[in-house]
Amino acid sequence: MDKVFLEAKSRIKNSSDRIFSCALSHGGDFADIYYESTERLFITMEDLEIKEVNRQLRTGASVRVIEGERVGFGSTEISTVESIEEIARIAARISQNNQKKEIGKFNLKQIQTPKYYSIKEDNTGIEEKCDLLKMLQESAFAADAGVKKVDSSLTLINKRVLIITSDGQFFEDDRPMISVRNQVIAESAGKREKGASGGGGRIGMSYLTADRAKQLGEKAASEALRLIKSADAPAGEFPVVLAPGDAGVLLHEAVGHGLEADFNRKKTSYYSDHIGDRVASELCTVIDDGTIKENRGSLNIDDEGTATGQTVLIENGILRGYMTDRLNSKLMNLPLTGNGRRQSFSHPPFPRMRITYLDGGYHKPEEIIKSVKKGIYADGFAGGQVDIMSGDFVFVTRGTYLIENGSLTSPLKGATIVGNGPEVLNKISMVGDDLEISDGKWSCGKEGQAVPVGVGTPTIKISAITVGGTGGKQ
Amino acid sequence: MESSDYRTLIDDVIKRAGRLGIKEIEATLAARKKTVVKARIDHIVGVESTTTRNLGIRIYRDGRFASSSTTDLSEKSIDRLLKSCYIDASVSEKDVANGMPEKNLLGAAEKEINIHDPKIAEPDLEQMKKAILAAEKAAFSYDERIINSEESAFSCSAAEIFFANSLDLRSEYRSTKATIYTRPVAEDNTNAENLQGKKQGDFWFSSARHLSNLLPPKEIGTEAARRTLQRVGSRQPGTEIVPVVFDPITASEMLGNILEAVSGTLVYRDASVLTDKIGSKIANDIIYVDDDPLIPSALGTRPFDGEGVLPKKLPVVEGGKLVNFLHNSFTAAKCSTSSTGHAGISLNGRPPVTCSNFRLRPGNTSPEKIISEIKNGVYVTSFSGKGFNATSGLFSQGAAGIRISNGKLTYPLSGFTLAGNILEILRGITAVGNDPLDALTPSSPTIKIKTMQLAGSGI
Repeated sequence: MDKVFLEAKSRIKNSSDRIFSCALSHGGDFADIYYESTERLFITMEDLEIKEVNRQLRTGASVRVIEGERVGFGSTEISTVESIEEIARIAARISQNNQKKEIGKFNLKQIQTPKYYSIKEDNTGIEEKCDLLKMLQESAFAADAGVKKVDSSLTLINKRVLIITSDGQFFEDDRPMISVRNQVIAESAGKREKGASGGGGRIGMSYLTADRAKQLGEKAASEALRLIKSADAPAGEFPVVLAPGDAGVLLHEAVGHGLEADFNRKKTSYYSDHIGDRVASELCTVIDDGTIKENRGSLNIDDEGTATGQTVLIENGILRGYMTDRLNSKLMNLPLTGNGRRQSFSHPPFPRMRITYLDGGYHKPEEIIKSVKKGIYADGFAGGQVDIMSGDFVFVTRGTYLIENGSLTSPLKGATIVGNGPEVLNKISMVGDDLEISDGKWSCGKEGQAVPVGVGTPTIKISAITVGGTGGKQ
Repeated sequence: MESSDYRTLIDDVIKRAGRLGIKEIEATLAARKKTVVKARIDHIVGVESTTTRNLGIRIYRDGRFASSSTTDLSEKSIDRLLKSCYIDASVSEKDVANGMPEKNLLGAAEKEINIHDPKIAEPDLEQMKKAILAAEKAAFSYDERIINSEESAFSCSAAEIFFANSLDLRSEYRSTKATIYTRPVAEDNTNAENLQGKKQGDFWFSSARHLSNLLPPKEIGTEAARRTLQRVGSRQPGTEIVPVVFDPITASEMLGNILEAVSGTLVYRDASVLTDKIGSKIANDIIYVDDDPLIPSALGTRPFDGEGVLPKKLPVVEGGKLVNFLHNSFTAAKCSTSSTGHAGISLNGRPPVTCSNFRLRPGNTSPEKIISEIKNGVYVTSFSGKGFNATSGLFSQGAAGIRISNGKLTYPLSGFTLAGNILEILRGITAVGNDPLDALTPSSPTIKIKTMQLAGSGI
């Protein structure tokens, strides 16, 4: 794969002037070339047996032309210079000013940026990988006789990208990714429930140690077993305490999307035209960060070559900025934040999150739980969705407990919580000093493109939120 | 590359495998092309063209299985692919369910299924631009409260699928699909306590195998605007148990939940709430669901499945009785039955169980009539998120819609959840509309559920 990448790199670099002169043949403000070579290994295990091994190699290139708010885009899996020139001509069709831009001979300049991860050689053989999955599953089965079925998978991806811009800059990034997924079905007393666990990051096999494999197995088993013993969640309006880590996905969905620049430029976000305004309780500082070492959402550079950093979105309750890509930063006259991302070479980039979290506060987690007379505690969510226009969201909690008189009491089934993002931010009444970034397993979908992201939060208390209850009449 | 090159290439893959001593192999080559034109308000904002072309192989080696895919179609790469996949196959566990479908199931539909339109395969960009601008314009001119647009898009996709296996099967088909959608935005100033005027958005679309079967852009824009305005001034309902009517969009999503529960993937793992319900009555006599892969021009139509099986119409629910599950060859073998031809076209891994045209058969009652018989209830027009657990059967999902009072649609509702067990919901379907939505699969007409649990914080 190194060879494939290196050959393509020198071919594309040497012909970039030709490609750009096709891309900008009808006009256009800016163009870029993106080349990617991705290798993926996927192993699934079902009840201690390896079910399948799958390998993929995918390479390809795309050319994009930007003119004002218009974007022309072409992509191909045939990365010969002729084929890339052809997609450049397709992308050029977006231009309306019909003024060919003259492209002289390029002096490409490679731009170096700080590194938060790198691809390391993988010395573990396929048998060793399978053994680790087996260890994970054994620990799930060992957790309880009620554990009936375990499904697990391991995915390892090495993606190498090359970006060349029409202003003569060139960037490279080597992006590793491991992800482990595990699902358990447990049965007891005639009831059947599912539990799940997962993790990973921009790191190789060194993530999946024997200890971690065991933890992931036990975690899913204990969730399924706990659900069997769980009562239905109550319905009504209650204070909700969220555990540190995974629960940060609420911020990603309910607040993060509304702060992506494209929605604000189009004025379809709840937060349009509100920079400088108070949008959350003063306890809230929300950050989107690409620089956390080896996290699933980390990026050395985004998919337009912009170095990532820590982007403060909300500071002590005041809206400070949006997450931008090249197009929106230029049109909105806002700084480039390094949030221009894409799923692959066959997708155009637009603003996406990296690792989005609520910054730590000063309350002790115990003190937060103690402050609740009757409420709900949840350590995460089983997914959910938000309408970024209205800010309304619906989420189903996981790892849910009833809080009674300041202590966690009975475990509950997932509770559906219904609320409004901007309103919830104003109702965050306590923020713990225990910020935790989730062990990576989240992917974010927008306009049909999925990208890996990270989330995080300290323990937080939302003073009141509508809980729908689990509804089903058992 | 031309179609004939792909045909030669896939044949060559099987021959090379034979020379390497690989006895059981399936190969799929998919060449796809998609052109998208995007517009917003009154101008074109994007033109995108993507082509993809992948080769995927599946190897069975003494009951062990592995798969691999590549975008590099050189001879060297294909040899490498075959060799490494053959080695990977020795790693997996032996499973008697692993293998190709029985030879007598293989084939391709000869009937004229009419799923290719050259006008979509080679689209006219200027026409696409004109159409999508017309859809945007129609939304804005419908009502002055439509003040903005998220985006409208017109996409034309064409696919060429080539399939071959070591049982001497060579099959291929060409298909096309065009979709237009538009997403207008309305200002909603009805709730003054908010940070600023809320916005409301909704969408409408049309999707078809042939350009001539798409709804006119003007109609799409108008319907999108109507659905968007329908949300303005929404209130939250309280917690109540009421009759619920799902419009064809949300009813089709509900049918998608049923599809998940009748898929062999969950059934063989005993992970579906319907696993032990085969042969029993799960719904009223009026309920018929089938999956028909050979409906001419339909979106889910395919002449063969992802494993080269000749597909046939499959009844799933007949007069309320659950009669069949959907299987690929693996899940079928696990359940000691034969593939029903429901393997999806897949380049990586075991082909997933997918439906073709999975439809709830329309009844003869109009949606207006169904609504008119309800004193107090909810008409559901959209869901948020996905809240169905096919293992426990528990359904709990955020929704938005309109209050039904004395047989009439009155004011909009939002920010509530609907909950119940899928078994109860199925039994609760007491009316099926006469308004199928063929632009989707799974596809359902309007349905009425006798009662469901609604939860919200309103009064």
